[in-house]
Amino acid sequence: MNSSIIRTSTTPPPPPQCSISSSSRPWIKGPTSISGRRTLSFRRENERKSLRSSDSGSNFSSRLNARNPSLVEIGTPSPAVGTAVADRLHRLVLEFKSLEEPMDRVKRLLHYASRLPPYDESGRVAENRVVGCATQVWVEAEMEEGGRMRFRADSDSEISKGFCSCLIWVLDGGEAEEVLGLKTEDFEYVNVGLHGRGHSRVNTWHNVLITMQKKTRALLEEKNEKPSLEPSLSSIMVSPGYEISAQNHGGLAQTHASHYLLSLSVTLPL
Amino acid sequence: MAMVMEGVAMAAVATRFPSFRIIHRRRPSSSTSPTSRTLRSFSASASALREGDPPAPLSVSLGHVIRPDFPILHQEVNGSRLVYLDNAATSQKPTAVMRAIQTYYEAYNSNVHRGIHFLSAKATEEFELARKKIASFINASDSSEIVFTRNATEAINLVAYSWGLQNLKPEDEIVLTVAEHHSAIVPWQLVAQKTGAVLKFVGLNQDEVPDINMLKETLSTKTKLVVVHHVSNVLASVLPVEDIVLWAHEIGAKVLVDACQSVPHMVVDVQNLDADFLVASSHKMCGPTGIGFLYGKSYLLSAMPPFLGGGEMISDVFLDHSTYAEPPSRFEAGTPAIGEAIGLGAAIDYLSAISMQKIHDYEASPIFLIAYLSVELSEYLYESLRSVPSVRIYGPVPTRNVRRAALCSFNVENIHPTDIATFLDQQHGVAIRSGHHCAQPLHRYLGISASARVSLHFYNTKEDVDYVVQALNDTVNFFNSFK
Repeated sequence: MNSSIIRTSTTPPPPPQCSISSSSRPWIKGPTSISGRRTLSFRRENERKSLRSSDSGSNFSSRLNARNPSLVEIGTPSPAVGTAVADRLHRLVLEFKSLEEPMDRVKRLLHYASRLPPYDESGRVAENRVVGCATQVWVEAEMEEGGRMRFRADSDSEISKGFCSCLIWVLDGGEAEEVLGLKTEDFEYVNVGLHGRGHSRVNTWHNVLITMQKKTRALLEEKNEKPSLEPSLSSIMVSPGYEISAQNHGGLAQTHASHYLLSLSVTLPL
Repeated sequence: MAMVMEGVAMAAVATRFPSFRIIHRRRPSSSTSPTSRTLRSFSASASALREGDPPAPLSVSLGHVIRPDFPILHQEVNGSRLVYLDNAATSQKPTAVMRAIQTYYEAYNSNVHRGIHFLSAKATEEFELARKKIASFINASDSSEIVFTRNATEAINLVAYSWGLQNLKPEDEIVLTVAEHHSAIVPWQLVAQKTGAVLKFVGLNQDEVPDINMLKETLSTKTKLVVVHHVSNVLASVLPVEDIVLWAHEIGAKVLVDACQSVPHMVVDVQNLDADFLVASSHKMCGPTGIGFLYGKSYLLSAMPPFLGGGEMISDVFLDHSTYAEPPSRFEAGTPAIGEAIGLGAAIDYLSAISMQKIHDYEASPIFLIAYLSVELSEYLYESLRSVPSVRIYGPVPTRNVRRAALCSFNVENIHPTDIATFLDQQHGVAIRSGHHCAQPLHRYLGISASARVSLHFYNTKEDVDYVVQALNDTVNFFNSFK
C-alpha cells in the first residue's frame, strides 16, 4: 500500500523527535500499567523540558518552524528538489511508525499542533469548514503562480490541529499533481486511536486530506480552463460554495464539495 | 484487543480498585441459562438485605452481579481494563442474546411466513414470538401494533412517509423540541418540504430542559403532530410524555415518542402514555443491531398506506395494481431481519427477567427509594463529574423532584471533547463519546459545537464512575500541561 512511497524515497528517516524517557512520561504505559500500578500524576515541567530539548534536533520541527505557510508569504522558500510530497510523506510515516506507544503519537501530534501558525479568525467560516469531522476543521487552499499548492488549516481540537500540521507539512508547496496523487491509505500509520485504515466519520486527517485534494482539483481545473489568465494570475482562492455528493478515489470520500466559488485576484498589465 | 481470561481481568480490576471486592463467579454450566443464574445471584444478594440494614456492600450491586453475562466487558483495551461508558450510542449484548442468534442459525435458519417445512414454521414461530415479547414489554394491546424496522430511524421515516404524506397539508404544524435526535428531525423536514407543513421547535427553559410550558403554548388547532423524545440523549432529562400526549390529544394532534433512551432503562407502558406512535432500537437495549420497532395504535396503522413495496407486504399482486396486507405485514416488505428479531426477543427476556423496574432503580432512582442498593448511578455520576476542574455538565441539576437519566454530556474548558475521548481511550481504556451526538440543533442552542458524553447501563458500577472521573482528571492535567 505504501510501496509507491518507499520507491520514491531516498532520504533516511528523521530521528525520533522526543527523547523522553519513560520515567518522565507517566501517561505513557510501561510494563507496570497492566498491573495497575501506573500513576496518574504528571511531571509537567519534565515533559516541557523534554519537548523543548527535542525541538532543536528535529528535522520536521525545524521545517515547521522555518516555514510559515501563510498565504501572504508565498514567496518564502519552497520545498527543494528531493523533498517532494511523497518524500515528506515517507518521512512522516516513518516517524510515526517509530512511535510504538499510542500516547507517543498523541503527544507528537500535540507538539506539531503547537507549531501550526496562528490561523486568522476571518478564515473560520462555513465555506472553509471540513465536513464530516467530529471536530471543527477549517482549510484554505491556494495555487501559486507556478502551480504549487499552499494550504492553511486550523481546528478547535488540538489533536486535529496536529493532523492538520502534519498534512500541511507534507502537502504545502507540492505540485497539484503530487497532492492529488496521495491516497488516504498512505496516512494509515499517522492514525491515533483508529485501527487499520480508519474509515470512520471521526477520521479527521482523512477528511482533511480529501478536502485539500478537492480544493486542489478545483483550482487545477480552473487554471486549465482559463489559460489566458494564467500569466497574470497571482492567486486563486477557493472555497466550497455549496455541497453535493462527490465520489473520491480516496475511499470514504464522504466529504462533499464539488461546486466552488472562485475569487480571482488578477493582475492586469497597465 | 485480545480477550483476556476473566480471572485476569478481575485481578487487574482488583488491583486498581483495592477498596472494593468483585465476586468472581464461575461461568455457568451449559445447562444453566445466563438469565436464571443472574437472577438467582441478584435475588440472593438482595434478599439477604432487609430494609433498614446498613448499605449493601458494593459487590452485590446489580452491576457487579450481571457483569459476567457480558463477556465483551472483560477485556483490555490499549493496555487498560475496558470501561465501557458509551451506552447511549449502543449497549453491550449478554451471552443469552448471542446464544439465541447462534441457535437460530444453527438449528432453524429459514425464511419466515410462507414456508411449509419444519424449519420455516419454527423460524416463523420464533420471529412472531419476538413480536409478542416486544408488545408485552411495552404493554401494547396487541402484537399487530408492533412493526419490525431496521432501527428507530427507519421507524420514524415509516411514520413520516406513510402517515405524514397522507395526513399533512400546507400550514399544518409539527411541534418538536430543539433537543430531538437528528433522526426525529430530518424525516419531518423532508415531509414538510413535500407537504408544505411547518416545523415548530420548542426551546429549553432555565433548568436546561425542554420547556414544556412553551410546548403547551405552541400547540394549536394547526398542530397535527408532536414529535418528542422520552429521555434526552444529551441532557439526560425526562419529558412528561403523559402530559404532552394529553395536551396534544385535546387539540386533535397525534404524538410520536422517540423512546430510544427510555425503553432500555425503565418501564415504558404505551397504554399509560397513550402515545400514538413510539419507536425504539434493539441495539440500545442489549439486542442486536439491524432491528428496531415501531409501535402504532391499531386504528392508525390500519389507515396508513405502505411505506416500502415488495414481498410480504402484499395481499394480491396484479400487473397493474396490488392490494396490501394488514399491519404489521403491510410495513414489512421483503425478508425481515429474522435472526436479529429473535435476538431482540432474547434481549427482552433477559431484561424482563431482571425487571426493568430494578434496572431503573439501580440507574436512576433516588437513594432513599431503594434501601437495598447502595448506589444510584445517575446522581453519583453527576456529582462525581462536577468535581472535575472547569467542567460544564449540560442538562438539569438533579434534585428530589428533577430526575436525570444515567448519562452526562459535558465539556471541560479549553479542551476539545474529542481530544478528551481520544486520551481516555488511548491512555485509560475508557470508551466515551464525543461530538454532537446527532443533536446539532441542541448543541447550537447551547452555544457549543460538540460535547463529551458518559452514558451508563445497568452493567456499569460505581467503580466505573470513579475510574472515569479519575481518568478525566488525568486527561485535563495532560492537556493543560501542553498549554
